[in-house]
Amino acid sequence: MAADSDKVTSPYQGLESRAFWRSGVAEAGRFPPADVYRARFPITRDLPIFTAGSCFAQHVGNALRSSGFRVLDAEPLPAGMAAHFRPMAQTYGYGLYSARYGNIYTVRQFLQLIREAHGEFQPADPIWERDGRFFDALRPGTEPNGLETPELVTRARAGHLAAVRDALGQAGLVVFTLGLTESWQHTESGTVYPTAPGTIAGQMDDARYSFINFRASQIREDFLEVRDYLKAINPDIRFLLTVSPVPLTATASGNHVLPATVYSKAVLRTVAGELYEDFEDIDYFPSFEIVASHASDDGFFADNLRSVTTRGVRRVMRAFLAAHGAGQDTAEERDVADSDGTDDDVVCEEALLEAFST
Amino acid sequence: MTRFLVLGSSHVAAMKQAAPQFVERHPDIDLSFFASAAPTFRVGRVGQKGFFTPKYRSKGDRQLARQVNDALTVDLTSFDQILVSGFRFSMGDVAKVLLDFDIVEGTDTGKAQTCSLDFLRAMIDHLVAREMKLITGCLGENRNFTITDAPYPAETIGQRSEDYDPAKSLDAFMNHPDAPGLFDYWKDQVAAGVTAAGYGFLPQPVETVTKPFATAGQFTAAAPHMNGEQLSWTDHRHMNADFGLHVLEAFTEKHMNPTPKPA
Repeated sequence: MAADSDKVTSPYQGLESRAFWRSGVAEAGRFPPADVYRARFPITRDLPIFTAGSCFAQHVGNALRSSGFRVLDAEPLPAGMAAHFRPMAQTYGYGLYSARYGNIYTVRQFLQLIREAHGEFQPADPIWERDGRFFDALRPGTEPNGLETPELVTRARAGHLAAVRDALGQAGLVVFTLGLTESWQHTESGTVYPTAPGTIAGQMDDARYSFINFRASQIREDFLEVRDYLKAINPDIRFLLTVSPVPLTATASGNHVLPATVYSKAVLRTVAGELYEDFEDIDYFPSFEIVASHASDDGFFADNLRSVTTRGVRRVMRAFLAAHGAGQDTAEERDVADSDGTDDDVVCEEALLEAFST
Repeated sequence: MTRFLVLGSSHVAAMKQAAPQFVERHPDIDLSFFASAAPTFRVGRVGQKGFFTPKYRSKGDRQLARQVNDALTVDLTSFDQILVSGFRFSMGDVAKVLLDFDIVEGTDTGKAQTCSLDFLRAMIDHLVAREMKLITGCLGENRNFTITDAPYPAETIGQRSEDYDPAKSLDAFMNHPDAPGLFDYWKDQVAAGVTAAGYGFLPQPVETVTKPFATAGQFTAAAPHMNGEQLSWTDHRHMNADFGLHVLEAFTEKHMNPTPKPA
């Protein structure tokens, strides 16, 4: 029997300083706090990493690549190609992710891609048209000017799906950035698209397409299906989830875009948190919290209060890489430190919705 | 008497070697040359007083320039016509892509990956814009310059696949079934880029071109070094006096309304 003096008077007594707001955040002396993230499992340099997600995921991939991690790229440009082509090539989807699927804003979109790559899903209306050119509706941003015929889109997509299959077959870790809950679907089939019809190509037709705002339970279910698929390919595969701190450019929910954004991010954060709690093979990295929480620096968003500044990106990546044993002064960080802009260098179709603002 | 300067990189040597023959045919043209190694030439500058000075990086650069030109700078104001040879709108990276990719709109050659024609054209647009930035930075305001691209590699460049990394992809490009269309696009974009900047443009003479982005192999034999000595080996990139004469004659024909002395 313990003496009275040894009695714990509160379950918070004796917790680490990171558990308290004052010591863990307000008086931590730096932001993000040094211990804001503890890696659940190590990411070794030779672990094949598959990256996907919304625009912000591009930063994660870049940081990993620059720090010597093995980020898969099943549709690479030739080795030795001059670096000055890179930004131009990225507008065609090269070098952004582990294949040229472009941004994957919802888990449902990711699930579709995996199933389609394995011949178990056939998207509805997979080809959209604009000004006589034809676009892959599932990745309309990867050919900014489209292709000449629908057949060419189909041919290009077949090659792309083979590359996705190849990359997934090698993956030991999937890094996925949850971006949006809102999406547009082919109503009858449930096929979701990364952009609304009519944004890059195609045409909105209320009888054919409809808005969907995924709920937490649906996202979780989709993610578990993704996990099952990928575990069937590689039982040892692991997952690292993040939530993008980038607000919605626009909402079709009928709500004001601010609460719509907070709702969306809260849903995604909830799903990520519960998946983390429930599965040992899922880690969560708090990029959203670092950029968009109470203690975040004023300078993490650009004047439009949407684009994350290079400073914000740098802080996120520093915390991430430090937790995974990568150097503090990586090439990515130097690049970011040397620049003074926003994350406009990432390729982001969702931002195109701004053009519809009146 | 027309005062005509050929300004540029090591590729000037082919024209310099052709000078005796050219001057013999055009006694009314006073032909001069100024050349420096490509890395010093391409980032050189035309000063306010109209002198061109290469960006020398070392004593060796200066020594070579003195040896070749007997001067470190050249006064451009004293010439009526200036032909510039040494900028390179290289198709090397486009060729690298075609080594690994088929064009989705083009011929199926069994490559595992495809890319779009639009992407390759965007690459060409990018490389032209980038080189034009270099050219305008180097030459500044239009001063009766006519730009000619550095010679296309020789069609025999594949012989250097072992020692020269780009040789394999360039050789493959020259023989690629879809290369002619890309080459035509490239030529149009280069001409448009140069003329939009206010310079004259001289394409490589057609009689020297055998394949897309390929110079006939005969022009690479006995090519000279910038200092006038013959290269000790065939590098398949530098051309000989015969090629130089074709370029000089093409320029004269296009820009100087020549009345050549009968042969």
